[in-house]
Amino acid sequence: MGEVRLVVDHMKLEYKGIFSTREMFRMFTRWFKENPFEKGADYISEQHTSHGKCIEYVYWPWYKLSDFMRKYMKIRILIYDLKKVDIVVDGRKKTMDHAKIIIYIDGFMETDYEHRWGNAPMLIFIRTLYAKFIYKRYTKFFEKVIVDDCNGLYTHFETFFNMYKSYVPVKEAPYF
Amino acid sequence: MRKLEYWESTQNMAHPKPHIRFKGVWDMQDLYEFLISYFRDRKYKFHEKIYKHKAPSPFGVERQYIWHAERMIDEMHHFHIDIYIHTYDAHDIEVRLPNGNMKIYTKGRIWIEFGSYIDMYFDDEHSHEGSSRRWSSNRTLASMRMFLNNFVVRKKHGWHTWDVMMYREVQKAVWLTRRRLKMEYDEYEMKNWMGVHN
Repeated sequence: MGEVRLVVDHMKLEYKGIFSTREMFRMFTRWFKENPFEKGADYISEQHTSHGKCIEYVYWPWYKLSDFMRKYMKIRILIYDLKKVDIVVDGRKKTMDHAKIIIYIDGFMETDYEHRWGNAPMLIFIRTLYAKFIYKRYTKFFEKVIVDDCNGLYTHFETFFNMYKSYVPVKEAPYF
Repeated sequence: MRKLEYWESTQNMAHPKPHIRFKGVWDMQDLYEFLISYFRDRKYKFHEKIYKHKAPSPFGVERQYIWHAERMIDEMHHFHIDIYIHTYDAHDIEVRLPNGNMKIYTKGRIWIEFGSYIDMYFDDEHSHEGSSRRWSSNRTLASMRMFLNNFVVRKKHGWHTWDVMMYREVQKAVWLTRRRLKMEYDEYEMKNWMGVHN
């Protein structure tokens, strides 16, 4: 089995307020397409409770950087107490979601993902030498790539939630 | 060291396994019929392997469904999809629809797993030549199969088959299941990745 290195550890984003869940996932999808990651095993959970919907999404997008190295991310989106609220946008009433959301982003780097160099101790030894010394520059470079991806996604989410900061529910600001 | 058998040269491409967990109200009959017709429409052979109804508790019924769908794509590839459904605390409730009609829905918790893999250069058990093990009858053929898989058609297995299986068959089933369960986010991001015709 190849070596998995945790490069970005639990980058966390927290937001509570108004946003659109559908738009958030659309934005996330656009990012997915622009940075062509493959889809990994995803986990979707949704619970309808008396205090709103509780949703959990876990994505494992991955991308092969070379025959030897692969980067992947773990994106965990937790949404608590999601409720529909009416808001005012440009003098118009609109229905949106109000919830608390926490997003965790982890970035990993996996070497020898096809397990071709993990069968014998000699092969593992050679593989380690290559990864740590001979291909050191590439290893470091690819680590920076995954850090950049995680930061890019974090900024995307941050920008998205900033857009909704000025939105207020109707009960606080009448729409007429 | 254990001696390897020739049939162990069989290689298959495993796929990531998407999971859905849902708690709420859904139409089980509709979900059941939808998933079966989804596979039948795509020319899969569908098998309901296990249907388990466990002794009901005060909270509701626990049921388990294990399904298997398979389809021969071409001489090289054989698609397999395993679906595992488990419902907990499920009980029937009567729901009034927007048009005023009453319908029986299920309330409880549901867990769905979509496992899938592709057999490459499989041993055709129903071969017309009468041979049940085309590729594992001797060592030379087994080695040839592994050589083909690892070197000759390796790229084709990736972009031509893995992607099709993942984005057109499995993820689409996941998306439509989410829609059947009326989950909050029911869109499919990879809808047109493998072409717009299917």
